[in-house]
Amino acid sequence: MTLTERITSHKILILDGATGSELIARGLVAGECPELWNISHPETIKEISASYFEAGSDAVLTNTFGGSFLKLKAYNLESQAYELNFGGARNAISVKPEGKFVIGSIGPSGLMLEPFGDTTYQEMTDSFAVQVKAMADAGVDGFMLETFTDLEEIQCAIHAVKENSDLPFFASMTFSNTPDGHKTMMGVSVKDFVEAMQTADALLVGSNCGNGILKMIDLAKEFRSVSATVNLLLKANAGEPHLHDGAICYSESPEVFASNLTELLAISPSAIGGCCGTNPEHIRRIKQKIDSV
Amino acid sequence: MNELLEKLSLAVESGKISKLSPYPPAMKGLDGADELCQQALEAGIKPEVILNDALIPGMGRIGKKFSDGKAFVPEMLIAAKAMSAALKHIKPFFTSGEVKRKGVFVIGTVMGDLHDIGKNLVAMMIEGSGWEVVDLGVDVKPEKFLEAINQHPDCVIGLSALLTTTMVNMEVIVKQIRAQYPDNKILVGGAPLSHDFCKKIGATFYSSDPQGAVEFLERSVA
Repeated sequence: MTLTERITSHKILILDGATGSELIARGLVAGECPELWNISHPETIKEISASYFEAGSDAVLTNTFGGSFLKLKAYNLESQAYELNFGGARNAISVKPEGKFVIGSIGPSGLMLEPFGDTTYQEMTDSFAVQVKAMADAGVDGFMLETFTDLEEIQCAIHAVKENSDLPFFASMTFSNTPDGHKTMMGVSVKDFVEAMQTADALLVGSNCGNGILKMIDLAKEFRSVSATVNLLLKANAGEPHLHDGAICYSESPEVFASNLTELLAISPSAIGGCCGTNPEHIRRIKQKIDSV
Repeated sequence: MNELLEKLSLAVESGKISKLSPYPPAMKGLDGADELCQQALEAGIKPEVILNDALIPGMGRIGKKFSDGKAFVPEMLIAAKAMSAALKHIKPFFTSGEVKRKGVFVIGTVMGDLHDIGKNLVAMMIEGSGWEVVDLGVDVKPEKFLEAINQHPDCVIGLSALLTTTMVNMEVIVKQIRAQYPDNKILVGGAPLSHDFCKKIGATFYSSDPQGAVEFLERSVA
């Protein structure tokens, strides 16, 4: 079954939880390039993917969120962009059980397009294209463009996906609440985002990160009010981070997450998972809940 | 108010950098902050008056809209660029001492973190409000902050972090600064932060938006 067939089957797709916080738990130090671990610590990356498949994820994202060469430049690793993305995809694919999926993660560049910044549309698109080529070559089932806040930048990534593969893609932005509804930090409304992504033929449209499952419920309702039919993807983080004994903890435990799932599921998402601070236990709870409904 | 100053203030607020800049489309062909600031100086308006009556209020209005969720990062960035275009005409008067800076603000994204959009916005806003800004860049180690404070003993310090994995480094930096410089004010900001976090790590002030930092600094010199 292809990813597109799986989504159109209307059975909810369980995604994975966080990769970054799992890497840190395994020794990644702040300031290290997480994508470099795809080739320096491949066994660790495989272990994280395997733990999510084992917990019940139908699809796992690759450790390639910051794998665009514009982003890798900060670590002087831009010349290894292809290799790091290819390796990232191969790690997840190597532990993928039959019938499950690996999705290539693509995150924003951290740079601003003209006229607000100095990056051109072409440079931005080229930077994502390397990721797309590498991961398509490695054999991913599709892409997830996640944590974007700028409509034009996500269009660059979509352009790169379409030019360099025949694979489907999910589009996900990060929103906060404003007096005029939810908007991204670049000022994109839910309505403008959904409409643009439907035109672009995204397989799933939705949101990741933000401020926990409770706030994700409000946001999901706005997505639904904008479109009753959009295939919705929701990947909440585990609440707001706070400091506890010198370490960062998230406010929403797997239990809190699970206790709010009924309301989230009532909005009929097509795919659900976790973002920053969620771990395989959060996914196990999601799986239990969905199986029990 | 002087018509020129009003125009300049609006150019900053709207992000109209120069006559040739295409943004905002509604102001196509009009003079931008660059030309208007030059004209104001040529008309004999004191640089201090230009700063206080045109640039700071223009930036303040867009900053307020941002705090209220009515304007977003692009509008802020472009307004800050317009502000910088005007400010370059005022800078010689800072250097000559004709216009006094309000103080020195040392800012950096903390070690381990390479994100600079928020840090740059805050730096531009604070420079625009009349402070000398020392921007230490990204991935800044505690020693570099200490060195900068040593050079500017009365400075206010700003720490930025985007990631939950790097915000903990703020605590390390605040502790090291406090050990040597217990009285300098330390501002913290970044998406995952909160007032509670600021208090726990012993920083002086947290704001969820750049305008909050500007207003705090205004109060601190008032």
